[in-house]
Amino acid sequence: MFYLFLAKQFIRTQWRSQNEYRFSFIMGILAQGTNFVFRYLALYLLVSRFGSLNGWNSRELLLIYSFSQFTYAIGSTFTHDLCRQLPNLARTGDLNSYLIRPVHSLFLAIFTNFNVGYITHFTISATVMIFSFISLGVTLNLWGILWLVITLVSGGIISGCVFLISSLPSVVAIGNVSLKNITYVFKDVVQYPLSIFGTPLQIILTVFIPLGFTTFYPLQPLLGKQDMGIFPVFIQYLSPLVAIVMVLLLLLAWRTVINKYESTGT
Amino acid sequence: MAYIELHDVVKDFKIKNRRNGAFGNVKNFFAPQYLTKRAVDHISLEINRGEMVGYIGPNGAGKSTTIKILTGILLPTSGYVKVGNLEPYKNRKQNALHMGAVFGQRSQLLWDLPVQDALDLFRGMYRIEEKTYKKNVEMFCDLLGLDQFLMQPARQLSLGQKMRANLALALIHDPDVVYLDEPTIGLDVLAKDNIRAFLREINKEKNTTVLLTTHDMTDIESVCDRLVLINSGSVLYDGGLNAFKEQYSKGYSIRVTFADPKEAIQDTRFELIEKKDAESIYHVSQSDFQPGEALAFLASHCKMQDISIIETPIEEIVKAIYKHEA
Repeated sequence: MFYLFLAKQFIRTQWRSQNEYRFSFIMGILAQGTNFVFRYLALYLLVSRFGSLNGWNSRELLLIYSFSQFTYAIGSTFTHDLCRQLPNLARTGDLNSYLIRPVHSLFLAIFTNFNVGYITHFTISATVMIFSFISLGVTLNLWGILWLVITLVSGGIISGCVFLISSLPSVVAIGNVSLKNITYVFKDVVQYPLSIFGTPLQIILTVFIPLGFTTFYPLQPLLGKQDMGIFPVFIQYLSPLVAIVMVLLLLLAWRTVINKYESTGT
Repeated sequence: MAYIELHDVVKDFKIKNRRNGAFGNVKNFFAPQYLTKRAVDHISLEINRGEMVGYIGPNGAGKSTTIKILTGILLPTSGYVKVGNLEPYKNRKQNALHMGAVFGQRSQLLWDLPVQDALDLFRGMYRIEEKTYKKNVEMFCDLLGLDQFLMQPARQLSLGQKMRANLALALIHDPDVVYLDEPTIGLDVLAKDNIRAFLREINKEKNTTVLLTTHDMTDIESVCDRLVLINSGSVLYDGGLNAFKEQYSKGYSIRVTFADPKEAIQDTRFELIEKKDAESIYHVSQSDFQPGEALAFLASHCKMQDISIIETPIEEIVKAIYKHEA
């Protein structure tokens, strides 16, 4: 409860900080919005020409695309700015100020770097998502809606954790260790059905960098699909579990980095 | 039992040994060599609740490292540390609840938002009760003049205002101890005075323990009752301010204005250090004789217009020690 209350307070603070720069905020939204609209349009036109991709029709592909964007936006809201700040944390002394408060240091790191600027991602991807569901004639019952929410939240957590964990080495290195540059590439890969890629890539995105659980697997029960590649069907339902494991891994990684910092000081 | 205990604390840092030259650079990359640098070298200290301690030493003496160990940021290599019965690095969050810290010019304010917003955020983080919070904000407005800029965003504040606001943040939750790492750095005389008076007042009102590092000896003289001097990671002096002066200042000086400019003291106990017209400054080593005796001696031997004793300022003493140690 305490952390929930505190999170609310931090988010409000960040929102008000951003509002100080309203003009650039609005311009940013406009630019991003235009960019996204054209990207969706391009994808839609491209796939409509082909008809389908490995059994996924154009509206289903839009759904995957919007899902991956929505979950990416949730994760990035919490971790994008922090990932960018990590190489500087030790240098600027910000890390010290996270360590001298009566609150978990990772919580502080995340919420002082909370980004309220993903509004465009959310609105556009949600619009496309709703449009795709409707045009596919998919109606969701209560369980369906519940699973949709669980999927999006779990996907957001997994996405945020993947990028944050891969960025953590730069805290101790005090320089940009570009592991995130590697994971970041896969963010674009999971905008398409995983099954169109070769087995190695499927294994990577399911086992090692589990971004497949942000979109591709959990989306399938909602469409009644079973396009699993080399993996069994039940992993469609594993997203929440994967999310929990990723959070635990993140805590462990953070703990390791802080321990290292405590003893080296740099 | 002392509130803060450091027992035989050592902190080593590993630093890269950089070799020069093209071949050296390649070696640095593939087989880096590390050197161990000892920042804190077997320091033992005890500080009681409510004490105001000046922690001084030249740059790189280990002051900030000690403070980082006390705040729980750094883990000591060996030795043990207790603050209010807690080991800071093992109970970091618990320790944080009972302490406040200001690190030089590293601001804890929110760059774009009013000071008030930062205070509110701290209120949430430290779970401060409404009554205590209101009382403290009122007190800080009173003592630090916080009300003049409470609604201004941090980016519009002067350095002095920022420091005052940071002090308020560090003390808003009534901590038992506050660590101040160079709180007056870069401030003008008036702002420094204001902060010193505030620290004395807080200590009197709330019995807050204060550990202060500074390079400004006036801070120490006007705030602290105790001085800890460290160099190269070890304690050189730990004790009262007056005892420090007595121990390290070798004697005192006397400024004499003679009635006749040509006159001079002919006595080996007085060493002439400066002469300008009728005014001369002599140095006396204290072991030879006390100021009272010296004055009596001069009064009976010369005709003077004016005479005064000059105590060696603490700054000069510290300078001499740093020089000697270097």
